[in-house]
Amino acid sequence: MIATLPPKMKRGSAELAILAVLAECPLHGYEIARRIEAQTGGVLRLTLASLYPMLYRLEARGWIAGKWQTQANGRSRRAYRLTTAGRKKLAPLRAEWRLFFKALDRLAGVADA
Amino acid sequence: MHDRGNAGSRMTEANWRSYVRTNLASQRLVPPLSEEVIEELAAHLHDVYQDALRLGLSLEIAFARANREAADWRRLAKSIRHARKEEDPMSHDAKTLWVPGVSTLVIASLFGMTMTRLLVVLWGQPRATLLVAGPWLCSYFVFGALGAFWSRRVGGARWKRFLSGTFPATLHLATFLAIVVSAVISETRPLAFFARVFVFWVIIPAAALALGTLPFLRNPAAKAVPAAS
Repeated sequence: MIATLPPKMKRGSAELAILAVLAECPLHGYEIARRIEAQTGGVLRLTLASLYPMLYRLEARGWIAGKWQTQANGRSRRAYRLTTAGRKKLAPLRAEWRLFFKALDRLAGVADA
Repeated sequence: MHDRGNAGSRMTEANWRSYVRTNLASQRLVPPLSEEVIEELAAHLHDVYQDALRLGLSLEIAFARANREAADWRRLAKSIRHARKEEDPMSHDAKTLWVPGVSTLVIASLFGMTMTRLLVVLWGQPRATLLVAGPWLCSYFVFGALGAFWSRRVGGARWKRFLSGTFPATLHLATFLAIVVSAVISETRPLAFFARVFVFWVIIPAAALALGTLPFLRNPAAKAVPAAS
């Protein structure tokens, strides 16, 4: 995770990242972490310690649902999928972050001038 | 508490389970975290470890890399415990089964009471029973759908959606059992009577509710889960 971000922002960005990757397809925990890392070019990295409390929190809210599945290689993994409630939450979350980054961008523009 | 002795030999998934269990047990959480959590964390560590070995790293470095994921076991255990309780005053079962199921039962009962009153008003008119029973039975498709939709919306598994939708059938079954008990105590009825009541009062409404749940038993985003490489 980005070390300099305050905890609330870390949590918010991780929530958005998890919901966003699960909107593409159901994934298990390690795959979620790998995909986030790959898609953010390594900027956002979720470890076991940061990922699972977040997954359980999102599951408790009913935004994602986990289910044990046996993979082709015979291993059991708990795959998470986005629920209808999670899908509905994703759009406003994206909008909030877009707004936030636009605001930061405007601020940076002023600072550079 | 990290067992450094594991680093020298190749770790299997079972080894990781035992490793996670030992580290979490040392935190003395009451009640301890579930086996499901232990298994999931162990699977993650095993995947990290396997990836590291695939990159050509030594057993020791791969072990260290996986071990670094947990960082602080005490903190991890507490975060998981906290996350599972946080923002969720209700259990997952309550949210996905009991609330939608009981609510559907209450709504269906209120509607049933209204229809019974209507039957009393219409009593004596030709086709009164049909006028009441028709819409009443049709409403059960809607109630079945409502329960299943509600449960799916809050992340209920398929069986929970089905049970939530068919929950009003429990009231029918209870009433039927009450009829059976009262009949046994006070009067003698032929078996055919009970069979008829059972079919019309329990089976048909339950089937209507079950049919109503069908559109909501499918998962909206059911896609294949890629296997860990």
